[in-house]
Amino acid sequence: MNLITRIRNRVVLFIWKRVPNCAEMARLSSENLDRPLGIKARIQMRFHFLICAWCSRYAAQIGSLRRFVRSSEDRVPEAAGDELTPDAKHRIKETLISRS
Amino acid sequence: MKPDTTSPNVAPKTTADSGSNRLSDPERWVDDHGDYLFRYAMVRVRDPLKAEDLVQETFLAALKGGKSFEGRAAEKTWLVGILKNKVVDGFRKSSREQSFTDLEFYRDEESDRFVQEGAFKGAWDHDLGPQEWSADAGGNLDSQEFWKTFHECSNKLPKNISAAFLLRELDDWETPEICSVLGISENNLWVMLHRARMALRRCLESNWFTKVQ
Repeated sequence: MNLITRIRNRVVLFIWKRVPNCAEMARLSSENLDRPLGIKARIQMRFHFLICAWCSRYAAQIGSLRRFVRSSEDRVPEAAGDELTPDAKHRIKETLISRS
Repeated sequence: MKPDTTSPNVAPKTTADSGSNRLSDPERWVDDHGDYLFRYAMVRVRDPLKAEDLVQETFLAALKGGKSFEGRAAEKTWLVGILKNKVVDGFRKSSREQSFTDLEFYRDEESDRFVQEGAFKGAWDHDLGPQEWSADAGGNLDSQEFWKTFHECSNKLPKNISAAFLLRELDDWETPEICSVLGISENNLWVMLHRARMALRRCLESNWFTKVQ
């Protein structure tokens, strides 16, 4: 192991011991999408992201989920492809006519 | 919801008149908007009978309202607005009947993806953790196949969890509103949303983003 790798590993371990672990980070990243987090949590998350590509990806990807659905509101129901059956349409029409 | 300005001589309270977009033409109505409304309801309640009921109730309420609109777009928006309220009322009712949380189902859904012990306990397992998604993720939004996959993934979520997720992400509700409709605490909701995102992310990753197309 050369010196640079050793220093790098030391730094990673130093940070790792002082920030929430990845399981906890996943929870925080989700909560971050629903409410403002405290300053301490935000700083800890920053440092965790510095040493962990997986959590950075995770946070970005669950953010993308929101972007996906909101940018294409109608695409989700469309993809489901559900339709009223002819029978159902008939039933509804009958009801509407009888009540109008 | 403005009164029909193209026929100023029509008093707003009369429901039978000759306007071609009059909502008193239920047959055309069902043909024009029925499927759209049904899909809207299906994605949220995931029960064809319930969804059909909701659509019918929507039309009935609209019939009572007796408003008219210029053009189908405005008419559709109005109907969707009514349906939205019906769906929410349904959630309120069922949250009174039974607990809306379904957390056991999702307990530690991804625990197998985290390192179990040692100095890095609780870290993502490097091979099982989140992978790089293909860079053209933006282009996915136009793909019918992508949305199909998305739908299949969100359909795998337990009903209650997907209802909470859709209210939050699709309908852009704030968490206190969702809690009051579903009759759950904020803590519960955060856990539900966390589980939903985790499961959906994982499903999309393995069925779309890292799948060889």
